[in-house]
Amino acid sequence: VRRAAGAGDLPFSALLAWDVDTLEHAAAAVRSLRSAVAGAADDLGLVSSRLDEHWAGLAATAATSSLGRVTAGAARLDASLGFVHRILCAAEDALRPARDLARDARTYAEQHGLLLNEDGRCSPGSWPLVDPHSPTAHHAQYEYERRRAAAEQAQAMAMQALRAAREADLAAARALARAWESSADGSTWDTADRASLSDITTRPCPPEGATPAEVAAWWASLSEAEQRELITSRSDLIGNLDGVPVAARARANERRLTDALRDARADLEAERHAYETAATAASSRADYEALRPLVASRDAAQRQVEMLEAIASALDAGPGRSLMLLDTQMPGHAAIAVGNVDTAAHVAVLVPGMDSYVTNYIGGLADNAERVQVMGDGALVGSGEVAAIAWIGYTAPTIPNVGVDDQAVGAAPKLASAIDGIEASRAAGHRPVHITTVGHSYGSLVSGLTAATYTAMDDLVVFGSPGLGAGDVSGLDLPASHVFVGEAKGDPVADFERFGGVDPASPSFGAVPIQTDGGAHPLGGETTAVSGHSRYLEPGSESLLNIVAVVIGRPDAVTVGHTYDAGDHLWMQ
Amino acid sequence: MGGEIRVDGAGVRRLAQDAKDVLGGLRLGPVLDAVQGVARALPAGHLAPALASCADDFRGTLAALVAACEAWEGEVRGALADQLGADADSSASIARMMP
Repeated sequence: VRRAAGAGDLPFSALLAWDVDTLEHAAAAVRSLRSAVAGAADDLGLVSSRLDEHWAGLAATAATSSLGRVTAGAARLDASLGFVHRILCAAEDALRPARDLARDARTYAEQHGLLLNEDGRCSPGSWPLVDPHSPTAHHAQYEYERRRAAAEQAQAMAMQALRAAREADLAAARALARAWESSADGSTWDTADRASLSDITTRPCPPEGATPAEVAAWWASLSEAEQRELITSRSDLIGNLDGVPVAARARANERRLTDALRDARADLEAERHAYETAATAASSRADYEALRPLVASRDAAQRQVEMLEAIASALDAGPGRSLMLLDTQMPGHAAIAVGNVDTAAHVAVLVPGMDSYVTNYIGGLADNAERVQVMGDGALVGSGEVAAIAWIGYTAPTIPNVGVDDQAVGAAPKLASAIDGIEASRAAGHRPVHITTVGHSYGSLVSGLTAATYTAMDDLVVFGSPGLGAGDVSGLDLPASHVFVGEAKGDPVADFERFGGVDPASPSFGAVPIQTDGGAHPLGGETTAVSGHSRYLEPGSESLLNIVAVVIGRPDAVTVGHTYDAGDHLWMQ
Repeated sequence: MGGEIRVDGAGVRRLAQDAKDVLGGLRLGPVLDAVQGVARALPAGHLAPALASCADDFRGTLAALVAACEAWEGEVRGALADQLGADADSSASIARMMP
């Protein structure tokens, strides 16, 4: 920047203290300058035009020409002032969210007992000095991980605020220099100048691999206008970006779903037409052989339409549903939120097991999520305080591969990212959230592997679990009192002991056992028993009420106790 | 080259004075001072010095335009004196060939 010699990067404390309104005052002053200069340029033009009424000849021509140069200079000044005004408005648009994000970062850090350094960095402190074999070691480590995650979140917010502010600060300074140069050298602003204006407000999209905390901080550093623009122009990016608030993702995804469904139906129509044309004309064995790939293409197009229609139907099947994840690549992935995930105090993430695909199960899982949400929201806690997510963000195993953990190993980072994204997207708004993962069957393994690395998950409830991938609860990055395991009578899967080698419902695993066999419940009178592998969310059941109790942060209301079945009697012997 | 020389001294002098007053009467100093005040209030970084320099530059450009207007008005007066002699408010209309 030509005249910014000696200028330095904006320090964090200065960003925190920045009264961004002063830029609005400067913009208003420049606007009044511009108005005065524009009026003067008009008046000079008037003088010039009236001069020939009173004066003609060479001297008059020379005088008119000379005055014209002055008038043109005033007009250039007017134009440059207009540019400066736009620069200052753009700088305010960019710097206000950056300053707000910096303040959010400071508040978030303070809420977690942390301090941000002048350079925006945040330390969680030292590793707890606890004997790793002591009974408190697991909990101490968990608490440290919570502090470390909070420090990372605060730091991501602070660094993004600093980055956004510094970029806007530098871009605005560069644009100001151009505004002056345009005025001084007689040129008018051009495409490059307009680009320099857009440089002030544009925050580059986060790089691939950015953490949800980094994404959330980036999103919070954008102005509302930029966010709206991105939802429209980059719906493919925003829709599945963990760390972006669900409302924004849903707007992007619902637009994508509409487009994808339209395209898929058109493809199907074309495939049907191609097949029917070929089939009508077929007359030889070779012709009929040639129909095979056409049949395959037509059927694939049909499956694509069915998958997308299943999502659309599930979205329309109940109130308050939004699409927070959409992957249209077959077999498809989707997540439907019921309730407001961006504001609810409690969020449940339902993770299904074997054979749970978008086409056959997103509707059923969304109904289950709604059941959990409706039972808690407004009935047991305040209205709007519970949201639930039907999450099919992984490709579930089928019978041939359900005995190995490959699918779960691949799914766990995705679930972790989804959970951390919910937490991160709310940090800037100071809206703490209590997140419970509810894993069923193979989905409990996905949930367990996710809980084995620290995430923003607060509680884990699993039902009908063939194992969590850990030998006991200390293998999870959650305190034992936050891991709940339920098993129904007649559920053979719950006794498989397949993953981790231990039945998580057994006392040796160390989780909180949840009753499923019915009876009086602290939250809702008499409940019914469930049996088998797939009825844990039946209305009126003890298992459903216990899940809801955990989801709404009422572990005290969970009816605790083992429900023993045939498989359990084996390990009891 | 040639053509009519027509001059209404009083009218031209009035217009020249108007042109001089247009920019000279703007009194933009306080507004520019306000912009520079904002620049001083901005946190250290690149924008603050750039905005202060920008205000300086515009102040200089305005001053140059005011000076140009004043000079123009002086040149017009000189030209009128050449054409009308001592009575600059008189009028003349002379059709003649220019050398």
